[in-house]
Amino acid sequence: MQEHIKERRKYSRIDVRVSVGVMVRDLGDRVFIGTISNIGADGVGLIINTFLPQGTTLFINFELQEGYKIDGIEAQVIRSREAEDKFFSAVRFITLDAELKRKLEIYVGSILFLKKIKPFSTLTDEETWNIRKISKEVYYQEGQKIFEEGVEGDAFYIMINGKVKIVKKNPQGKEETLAVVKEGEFFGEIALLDEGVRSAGAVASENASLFVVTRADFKKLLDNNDVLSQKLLWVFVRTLSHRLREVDKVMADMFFTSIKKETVSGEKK
Amino acid sequence: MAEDYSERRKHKRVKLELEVAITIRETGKAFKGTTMNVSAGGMSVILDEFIPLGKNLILTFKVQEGLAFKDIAAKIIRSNDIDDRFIYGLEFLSLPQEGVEKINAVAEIIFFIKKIKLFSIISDDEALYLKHVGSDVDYPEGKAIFSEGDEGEAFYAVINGKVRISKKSNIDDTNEEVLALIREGEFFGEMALFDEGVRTANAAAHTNCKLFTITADQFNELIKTNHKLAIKVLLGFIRTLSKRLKSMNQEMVDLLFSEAALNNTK
Repeated sequence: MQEHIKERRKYSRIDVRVSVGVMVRDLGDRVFIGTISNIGADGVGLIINTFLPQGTTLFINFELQEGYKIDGIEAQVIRSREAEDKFFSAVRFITLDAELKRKLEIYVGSILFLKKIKPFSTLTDEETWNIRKISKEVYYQEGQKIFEEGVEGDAFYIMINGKVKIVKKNPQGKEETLAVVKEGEFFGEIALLDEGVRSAGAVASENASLFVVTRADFKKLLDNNDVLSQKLLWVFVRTLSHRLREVDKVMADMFFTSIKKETVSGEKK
Repeated sequence: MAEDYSERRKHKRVKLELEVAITIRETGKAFKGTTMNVSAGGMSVILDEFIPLGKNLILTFKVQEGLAFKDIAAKIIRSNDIDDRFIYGLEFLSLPQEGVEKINAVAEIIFFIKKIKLFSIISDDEALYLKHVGSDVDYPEGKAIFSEGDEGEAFYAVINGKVRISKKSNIDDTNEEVLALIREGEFFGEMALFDEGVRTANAAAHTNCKLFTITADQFNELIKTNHKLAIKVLLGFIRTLSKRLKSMNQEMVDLLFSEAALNNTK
């Protein structure tokens, strides 16, 4: 059973299942509903219940994310074959305007980026797609507050670019940096699972771009997906465990250093 | 409608959903129901049909693999209806002593597991399942559970007794610094489940103690076979670990503050 030939691809593809409307010009503008099985900035793999001969011109519509529709892209069938009780068509975009192409490239790219984040490495393309769908890209300038200690938290952040410092006020009200988060790391995830106020604040220490996911959207995603829930919870537990180890190490060093300091300066402990 | 107080005092009750076959001895009429709770003294069953009171009943049910009961005599001691279903409180009349002890043992197990705060959100059925995933172990006072530098393979929760977590002192090689005393209902060593790595501290029985333990392999198996339970356990870990992290962050900040204060007074 021949796998679709991997053409030398300029653009990466991701495996997803997205519903798509396909209008076939040659069949009197008849519209079919199919499923995209993979997508890239140059085209899609389509599963549909009609055989579309090579060269057929199509217009396709699909939705990447709520409010992020791709409408009326002209495309051409490169080849088709039978796939169980349906047909698979490799489709290339013809007139994807530069703007739209870029948008698509960025979108697919962001999913590939998410997949590279170590904690998400166990997620399938589809699961990563589902998280990307509920993420919004946000930007913060150096010095801008992302959230404050003591305030109700309801969102989780993934670093795309830049640096964010996690800070906590000491008894005098001065901010101490607990950790610095950079590209490919995440923070604020406890707010997704537990109600409560933020136990620390987050401030951009450099210009930063992030993905933000709200608790409401996150809950909706997990309610329908036991496997994804479990994978993500597992990721969060491992991260928490790792963070605890880190703080433990830092504190052990601090104790040692402060004892050393006292010994050196001659003061009794 | 009087509760059966004597039943409650004698035997622990657990909320297990078991299938029960109920037969009226005199007529042979059979019913199928599901338990809402069970103890060694009886059970509360929910059915779609009405059972006339005052009849002699025979019950057949299974508590778990290897613990099944056949033809146990019982009588209805109270009844209730909700919507179009019927709830009956049944008292066992002929449960052999061995059966009584075994059911009580199961109830004890569930009770122990649920004492562990980490597992407080799981159902009694899930607690029983979890018990079969892991095992319980006894440690006499002073016995080492694991040592710093050992490969970490299992997670431990204290059912009763106390466990001492300690580390070699940084200043004085011969002394051990006690870091924490883990009590009933608390857990330790959980990093072995999530992280590869060696133990960063020693754990020893501070008093005679009984521990519930799950190895990393057993835990991974659980994750694969029982998603709903795995999710509850993971959520339990997240709640507990995040509380720990919060208080450690607080400690660290306070420490930094007192460090600075110390430097200022030099």
